[in-house]
Amino acid sequence: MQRGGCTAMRFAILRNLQSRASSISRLLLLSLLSLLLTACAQNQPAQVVGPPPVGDVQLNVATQTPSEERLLNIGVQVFDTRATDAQLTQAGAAIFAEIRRIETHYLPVVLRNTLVSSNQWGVVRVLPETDPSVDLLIQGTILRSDGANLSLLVRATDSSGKEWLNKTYVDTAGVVDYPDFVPSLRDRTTTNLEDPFQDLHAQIANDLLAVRESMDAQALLALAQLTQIKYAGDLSPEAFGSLLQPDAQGLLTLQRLPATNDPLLEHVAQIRARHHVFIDTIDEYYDALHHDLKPTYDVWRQYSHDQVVEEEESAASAAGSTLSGSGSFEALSQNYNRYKWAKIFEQEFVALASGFVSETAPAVLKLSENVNGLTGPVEEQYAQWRVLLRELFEVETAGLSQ
Amino acid sequence: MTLRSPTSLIATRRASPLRIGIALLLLLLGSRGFAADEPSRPINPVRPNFAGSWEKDFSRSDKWEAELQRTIDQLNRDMQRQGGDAGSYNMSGSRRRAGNVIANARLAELISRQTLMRITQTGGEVRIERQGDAALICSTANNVDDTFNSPHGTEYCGWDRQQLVFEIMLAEGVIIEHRFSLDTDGQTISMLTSVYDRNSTPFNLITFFNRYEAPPDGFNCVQTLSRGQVCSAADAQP
Repeated sequence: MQRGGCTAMRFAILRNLQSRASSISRLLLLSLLSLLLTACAQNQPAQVVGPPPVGDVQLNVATQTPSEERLLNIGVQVFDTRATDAQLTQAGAAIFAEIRRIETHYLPVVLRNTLVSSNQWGVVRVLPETDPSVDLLIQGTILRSDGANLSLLVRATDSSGKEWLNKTYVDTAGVVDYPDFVPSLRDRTTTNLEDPFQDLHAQIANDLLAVRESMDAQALLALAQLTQIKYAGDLSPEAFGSLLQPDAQGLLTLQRLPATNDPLLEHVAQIRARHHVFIDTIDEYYDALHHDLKPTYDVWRQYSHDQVVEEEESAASAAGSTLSGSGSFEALSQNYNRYKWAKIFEQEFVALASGFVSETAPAVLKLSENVNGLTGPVEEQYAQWRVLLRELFEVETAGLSQ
Repeated sequence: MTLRSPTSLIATRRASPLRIGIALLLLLLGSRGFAADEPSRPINPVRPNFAGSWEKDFSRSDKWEAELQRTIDQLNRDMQRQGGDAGSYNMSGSRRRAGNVIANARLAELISRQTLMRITQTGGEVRIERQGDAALICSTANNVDDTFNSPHGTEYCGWDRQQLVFEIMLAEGVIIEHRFSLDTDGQTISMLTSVYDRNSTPFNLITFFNRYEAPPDGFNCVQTLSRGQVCSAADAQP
């Protein structure tokens, strides 16, 4: 039975109770209502059991810079989000959807920073879209995010299409992950707190590293070459498209390498360098957004954590509640007050969420400021830039390809 | 004289066995039955606009002690009638219902003490703010849905014809219903509060609110996370 259907039936029964029934039939109808409510409750979606939390994770940091072929370039695409039915119908759903949208920009930067601090990789950038110039692309979907829980579905594929990771990561944060006080936005010493879900990001970085370490130097060099040709093919499918073909597993493989003195390749390298300057700029925008959001987001997450803890305690107290004199005014008023305060607490939480959105709005708006004279949201600017580069490549190589 | 809403009058009307049978049959038939239960009526897209500031009209509002006395008198009459018909078992059942109705009456009084309400209403939401209690918020765009759900209770809301209804089912099965109606000239709201459970006779209390012009607060406020409400002086009216 659908949830809305249960609600409508409930209303209809209550309407019958009020408009039609005598005291005897009222009892019968209420019995039916109880049965219906039980049935409806049993039809609520079951809690999805996910993987266990990652626990305490030590980031694998390279003490010396790895050899050149190991320094793969990584793109972390802005995350996706998957809202549950409960989230879509909860109080303040639009506000929480906006917070989730902000998180899709914020969390990739935390992962990017973790990968950078591991000192194991080449350039790591946050990108608005998939990008053919990176060796490894990381995509994530936020399954759950609040102050106490973070669950991400992470998929990492290299430029050949080989899947490195496709896994759900779960982490939980407790009281020890937050300061004893709500950090002040004015006190700079408290604005650099470690992310409470740092273990999750460290686990992703370590898992990626494990895959890379399973590959030999030759395979890594071949991957870097494949990325170059893939980018060239993206600029000019006519000139380079035939160099890459999918194998039996659907993975792109190099059929042959172009001549090292091919003048078109030189132009590809120049265009690629310009492209990297552009995506570096975009990455800086995301980094600035993260920097601007972090103090407020830290405060928000701490409130969110408190709210989750309060909910859990509230549920526990309701389950363990054994009021004496059930049906008495004291018992009724105590029940009502518990209900009232739970509701007031939630309404205040929605107000805080609204405060978070309005406080971070200027930073989010800044992300869509013009980059290099392009206009529109950053995703559109990225698409415009790709078109521009293709046209530039065509103009520059018009004489060469004839 | 206290004015009764049509709904509360219907609630006290005795139903014939035939009507009870029809209601039960419709319940068992499921959602199609419910559609048939309601007489077809033209869809009225215009909802009453509750927006504004409202203050309690003490002279017209029910006095809970008087309502309680009236309900107990009614129960006594029922008890005497049943006592003649069915003996002591029903007597004790009626006494139990009488005991519950006192608790329900006191709860109804407790939750309808507010003397001021501020209501904002948009196309998709009605928000009723009351001093000392949680706001009643109904997202009317979704018709009927739960607006709040916690281990201590669940709240539903929706339109029932031209009335805005909030139903709160507390954890132990007590149901609280607030039914808001606007009079035809838009100057008075009646709030019918009913408290009942499966063992008790509903206790109904009507509170009337009159519209008043609240002075403008003179500030534009934005909620922030770090600094709470940040307000600036509103532009002076020309």
